[in-house]
Amino acid sequence: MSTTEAPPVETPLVETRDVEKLFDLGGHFWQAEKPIVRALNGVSIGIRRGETFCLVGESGCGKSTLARSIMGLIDVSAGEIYYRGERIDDLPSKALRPFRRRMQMIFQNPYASLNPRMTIQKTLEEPLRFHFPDMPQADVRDRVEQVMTSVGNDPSWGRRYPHEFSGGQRQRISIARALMVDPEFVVADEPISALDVSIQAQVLNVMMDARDARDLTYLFITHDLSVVQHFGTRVGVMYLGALCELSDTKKLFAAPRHPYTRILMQAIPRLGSGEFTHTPMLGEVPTAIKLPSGCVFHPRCPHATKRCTAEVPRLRDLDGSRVACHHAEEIA
Amino acid sequence: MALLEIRHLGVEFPLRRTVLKALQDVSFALDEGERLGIVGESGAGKSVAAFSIINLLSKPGRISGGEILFEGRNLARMSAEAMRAVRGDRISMIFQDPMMTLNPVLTVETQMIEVLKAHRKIGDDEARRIAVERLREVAIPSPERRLKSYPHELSGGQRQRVVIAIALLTEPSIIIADEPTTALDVTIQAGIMSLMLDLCKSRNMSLILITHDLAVVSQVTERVIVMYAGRIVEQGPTADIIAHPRHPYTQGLLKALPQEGTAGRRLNQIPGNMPALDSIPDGCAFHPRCPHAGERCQAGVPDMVEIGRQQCRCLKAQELAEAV
Repeated sequence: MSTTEAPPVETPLVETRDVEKLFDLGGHFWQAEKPIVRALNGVSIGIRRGETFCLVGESGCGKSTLARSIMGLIDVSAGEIYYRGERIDDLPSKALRPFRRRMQMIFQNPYASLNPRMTIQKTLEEPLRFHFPDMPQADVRDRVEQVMTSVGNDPSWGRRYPHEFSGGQRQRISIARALMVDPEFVVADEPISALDVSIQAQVLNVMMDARDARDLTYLFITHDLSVVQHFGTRVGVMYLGALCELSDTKKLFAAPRHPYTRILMQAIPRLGSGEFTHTPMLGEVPTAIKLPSGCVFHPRCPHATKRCTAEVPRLRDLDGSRVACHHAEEIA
Repeated sequence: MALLEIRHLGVEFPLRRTVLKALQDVSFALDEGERLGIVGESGAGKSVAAFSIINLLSKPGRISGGEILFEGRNLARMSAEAMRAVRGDRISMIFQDPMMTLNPVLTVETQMIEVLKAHRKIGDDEARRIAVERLREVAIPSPERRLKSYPHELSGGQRQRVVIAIALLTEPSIIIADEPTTALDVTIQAGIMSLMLDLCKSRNMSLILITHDLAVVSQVTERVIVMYAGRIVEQGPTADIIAHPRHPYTQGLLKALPQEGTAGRRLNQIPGNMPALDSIPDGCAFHPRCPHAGERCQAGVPDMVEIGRQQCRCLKAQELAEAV
């Protein structure tokens, strides 16, 4: 359905430049220093057309905030977001509408993301009616049926309500809803973490088929590194609102460069790899309210030096990966 | 003799019109110092199995048959009074959400001393000394100070460590942990799991670990039980089951996991969903989803068959094992 010309190869489909997001926690009027959560601190990523870009990191690292900023669900505090080279973060909502059609989102909890009072048919028709108000009813129906079948759902589900479905079925309905308006770019925020193991495989397969059939670009957010390894082309690792490493999936798993990535990789449970051996991280989980100086990871890093406490490391190229660490060479 | 032995345990939930059979014919044994995993998807009955051991079934759930033998006594027939002396003393439990276990309005100290005093004749000072010792054992920094903290002042990982410390207070011989790290981040999970592993070894304590995560089970336990629709479908040494799963369900589960080497390929998926307890199919409960199912599979519930060191509830297990 996309009629726009293909952009030059170098332009990423989606790009963020030094995006920052602060959340004001309010606090009391007598407080001299109001508590502010620094959820994103200058994050720059470029998502290439056709790739599956994975964002990983632990809770509170800002991966969902970044995704929501890209989708325009929250306003960024500083920085810019581009879609096909056009700046979209400062657009008024009406001008954003055509972009919204091309960018869709799948949420974590399929129990909360479907309206319980709407039939599946209505849920799926709604995005079409919003973006293509003139589409004839027969076409709308055909389209619903076609998309439902393509994600392995029975089109007769349309008459039923969300509560009649299991978690996996609901997530497949959410995927169908995202695909209704024929998007180019889909953000999936932990789409399988609420599901059982055997169901996770179903949903991942549906997402993979949709990617291949529709030439989709994914931004896939997860904390599960084995899913990344299976599914992702490139990975961004986040810690406390900053990107610490950005690399091809294969490269990242073969040779993680950032100390945090290494610790994260070591912590993933793996089948049949013997008993848990664990090098505990130093210190405590910091909050994003009072960020550590310099490299945000330094209080927990086994390799931290004086330089790390003073100077914020920038993302830099290292053997084809991008790493934000002053000492990445020595560690390897 | 096994420390804990469960024989043909059945648990049911009588409802207005029907009776839900949450557990049927569950039998397993746990040796002293052994680490046992129970895996299965939501609704398979793994938590019910654990809760029934310490008689924590919520109403209207009840044990409909079978025995739970612990130190020579049948826990299934024990009075509530007598059970209270066992629960939290000889057998402790750790739940998924530490905030659900910890009382938000009491300090860590109050809660720890309370447990000790409930089970031991002991003075405050002695109780406090033991509490500090346990907190140190679970690697809580500056335990004396942490005693004065309220649960909300601790991070998620710290809270779960405090819960483990409380479970250890009475030096139990069995710890039952129900998804103890599901709510935590992977790096914290790794810390908690290696801590539990060390504790079990150093104290020769038995562990029943309930989880849906096969990878965690493979890194912590020695034996594993796979449950499906209220029954044990396979059990045996963890390494054997991971390497050579015999039941088609276990095989499907393991193949459904994304791993090294599956990159870019479609994952194996088990078609359909696990049946709800009110509509468990006749015969083998897995047959509608099983790639190997035949007519025989619909006829009756298969018996456990032994294959090597594994037991498996599948009519075709022997055939399938030989075919490999």
